[in-house]
Amino acid sequence: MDSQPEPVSYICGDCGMENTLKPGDVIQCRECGYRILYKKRTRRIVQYEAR
Amino acid sequence: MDGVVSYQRFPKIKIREVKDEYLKFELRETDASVANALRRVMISEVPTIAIDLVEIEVNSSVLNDEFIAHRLGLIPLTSDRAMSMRFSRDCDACDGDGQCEYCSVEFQLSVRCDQDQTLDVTSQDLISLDPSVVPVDVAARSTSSGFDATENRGIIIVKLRRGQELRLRAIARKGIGKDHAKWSPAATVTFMYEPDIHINEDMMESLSLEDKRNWVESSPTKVFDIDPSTHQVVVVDPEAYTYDEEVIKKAEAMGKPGLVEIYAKDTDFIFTVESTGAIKSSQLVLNAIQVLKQKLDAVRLTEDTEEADEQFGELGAHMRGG
Amino acid sequence: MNAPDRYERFVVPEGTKKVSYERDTKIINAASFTIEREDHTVGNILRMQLHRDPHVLFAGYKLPHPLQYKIIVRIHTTSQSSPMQAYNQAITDLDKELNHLKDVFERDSFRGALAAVYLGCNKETPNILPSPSGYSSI
Repeated sequence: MDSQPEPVSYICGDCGMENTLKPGDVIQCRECGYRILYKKRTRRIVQYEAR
Repeated sequence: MDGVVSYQRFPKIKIREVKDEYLKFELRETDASVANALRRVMISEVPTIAIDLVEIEVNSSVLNDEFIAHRLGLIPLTSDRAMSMRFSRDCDACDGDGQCEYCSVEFQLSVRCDQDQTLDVTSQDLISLDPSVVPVDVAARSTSSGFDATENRGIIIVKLRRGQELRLRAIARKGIGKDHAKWSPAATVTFMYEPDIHINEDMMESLSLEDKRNWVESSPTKVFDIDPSTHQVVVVDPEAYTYDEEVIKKAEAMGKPGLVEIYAKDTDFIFTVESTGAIKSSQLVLNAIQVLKQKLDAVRLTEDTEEADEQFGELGAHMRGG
Repeated sequence: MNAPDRYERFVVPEGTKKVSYERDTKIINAASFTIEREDHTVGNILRMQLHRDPHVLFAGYKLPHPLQYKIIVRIHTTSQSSPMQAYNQAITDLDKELNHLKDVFERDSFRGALAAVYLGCNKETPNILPSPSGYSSI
């Protein structure tokens, strides 16, 4: 399911800039260097067990 | 070899009250083990259908995905099909993904709020692809029996404000309460021993009316009363007795031990069954009997076990007798 | 995270026998039956049914551990019977009792439904069962 290496979008906690990160990237905003990023909701379909 | 004798019991049943979701009956001339097995099977082994897998496409509501998935799972669905359905784990029509007509039912939900008023997303917004499997309150609305249809607004899943949206696909599967309580068709199942109450009439008559009143009042539930014309103590509702022994203690405190003797008849039971609505209460009892029969059938000895024993027996006899 | 799957409580793993039988090495006509993926529901009715058999000297069951999903039923009989015979008899009798129970339940619920129709008390919908078999004589 997670085979496609689709980059995931994050929003900077300081300036609000949208960043795309790939596995292994440094967790840091490209615009302002702030190290707290919030994950954006994916547009992929997500599966849950109803338990 | 096979015994011609049988130690079988012939229990009796008297149904007192039947509603779609409530049943009260007497079970007589059997054993507590059978009564308890029936109760246990009704709670945890009679199959129903419930949402088990949720694929969320869009969720901008205030509740997170897992929360909504869990709430969907708890919605009772009409499960008359459940007994003849397959468990998706041993369904061979679909290759292991458990998504075929024999073992699953698909639901879709797509709601978006475009107004200033809060919008309730309820079980009525769940669109079933199988008309025989729908949320119980939706089914109750169309048949009008059961609970009051005008009051019924469905089971609320989440509330949306302007601009919020929920879009998902859910797969409902057959399961049993042992796996997860969401599959339990029973709201409550209880049984009580029928009490057998003997009043020592001679001793009772030696009491003054005041003492009789005090004694009758000592029971926390209304089991006894005084006949207004004869002033005799009578049993008005033996089943109201909760085996609290308050009346026995009271009699002793009054210096009248043995005024009343109360036994639990260990062969007679009074059952109350309440269903979630997934299946009718009477059908729940019948399904429980069938499931219990299947369980017993499964623990029958297979032929190879018996053969192995016979060989062992010969060997044993050989070893013992020489 | 590492919790065992819930279905392990009632699905017999492949290659495992539902019931296995082991004779007692010292006492004749005594044996233990290990029943996989069963609990008090089956254990207790079997035990009580075995107690009705006068050839059974001892019948008991145990659930060795709550995380081992099996029960052990131990039977000791007189020389007129055998543990296996008593075990089979108990299951047969319980099965017959349940058949009887099903019949009387269906008969009584059907009778209740009929009475409700005759008396015209339609306040509570008579609950006619989907498959009321064996009432043709009424």
